[in-house]
Amino acid sequence: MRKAILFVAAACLAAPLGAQQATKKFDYKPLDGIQTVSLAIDQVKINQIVFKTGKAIGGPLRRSDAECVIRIDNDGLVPVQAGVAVALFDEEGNLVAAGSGGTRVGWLSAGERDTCAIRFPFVYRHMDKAKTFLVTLEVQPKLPKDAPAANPTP
Amino acid sequence: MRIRSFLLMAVLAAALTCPASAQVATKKFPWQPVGGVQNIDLATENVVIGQVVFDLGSTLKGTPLRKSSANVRVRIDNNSETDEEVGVAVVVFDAEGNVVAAGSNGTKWGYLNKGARTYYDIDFPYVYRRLDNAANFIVTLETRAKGSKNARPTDNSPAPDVTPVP
Repeated sequence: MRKAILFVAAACLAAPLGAQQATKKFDYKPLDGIQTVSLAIDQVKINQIVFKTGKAIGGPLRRSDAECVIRIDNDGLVPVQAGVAVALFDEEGNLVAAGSGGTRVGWLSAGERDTCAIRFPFVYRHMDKAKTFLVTLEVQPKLPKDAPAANPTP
Repeated sequence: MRIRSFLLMAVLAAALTCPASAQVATKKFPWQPVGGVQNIDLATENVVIGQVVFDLGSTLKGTPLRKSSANVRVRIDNNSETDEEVGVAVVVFDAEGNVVAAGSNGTKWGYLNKGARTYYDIDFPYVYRRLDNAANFIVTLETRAKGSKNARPTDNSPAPDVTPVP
C-alpha cells in the first residue's frame, strides 16, 4: 500500500507541465509605436510591444507592412516554447488586426530575451482606430529528459 | 463664368463616378463546427463569408520545429458588381475569453473578381495549444472596391465582451 502511494506521488511529481496560457486586455496607447505592458506566466514575461500601423506595399500587391514586435523574456530556470497572439479592436469592438508569433524552432533558453514580429498583412486598414488590444501568452516548458511526453493541454 | 460652371460639372462628375469606399464587418459566432465545418453569415454588402472549416492541426513531434498546422479555411464569395480587395481575420476564444488562436489572410495580388469565389487559409502556427477549448470566435471581413480610397465601417455589431484572465 505504501509503495502504491509512493508510486502515485512520484508519478504526480514527475507529471509534465502542460501548456500554460494568460490573456490580458490593454488600452491602445503607444508612444512612437512603443507601449509598455505587463503579462507573465511564471517567469516568462512580455514587457514591451512596438506597433507599426503600416500601409499597403503598393502596386498590385495588397499586403501591408503593418506589424507589432513583441519582446519576450524568459527569466525562468527552464527553456520554454512561447506563443503570442495579439488582437486589436476599435472603439465599437470591431477587430482591426490580429495575428500570432512565437518560437519557431527549438526553445527560448532560460535567461534569454527574444522578440517576435507579428504581421498584419491583410486586415490593417482600420488599425489607426485601435482603442484596445488583447495579448495572449502561451508557454510550454521543456521537460526533463527522463520525464514522460507532455500532453499540451491546459 | 463658363469656366466655373465647367469646373463645377467636372467635380460633380468625379464625385458621382467615385466608387464605394472600403468597408469592414465584425461578427461573433459560437464554436459549433461539425467535422470542422461551420456555416456562418458575414457580409459587407455583397461580399460574403458563408463557411469556415477549422483544422485543429498537429505539430511535428520529435523535431525542433514548433509550428502547428492548425488553420481555418474561409470561403468568400464576391457577389458584388465590382472587383474587391478582401481581408479576413479570425480570433478564437475559450469560454473565459482567452485567445486560443488568431490570424488573418486575404487578397495578396490584384483583386477578387466580381462573381468569383475563393478560399483563404488562415494559419494558427504559434498559439494553438488550447484550440480544443474553443467556445466562440469572431470574424472580421474587410473589403475595398477597386479604385476606392477611404474606409468606413458598415457593421456596428461589436466584438465579444471578452473577459481576459489577468
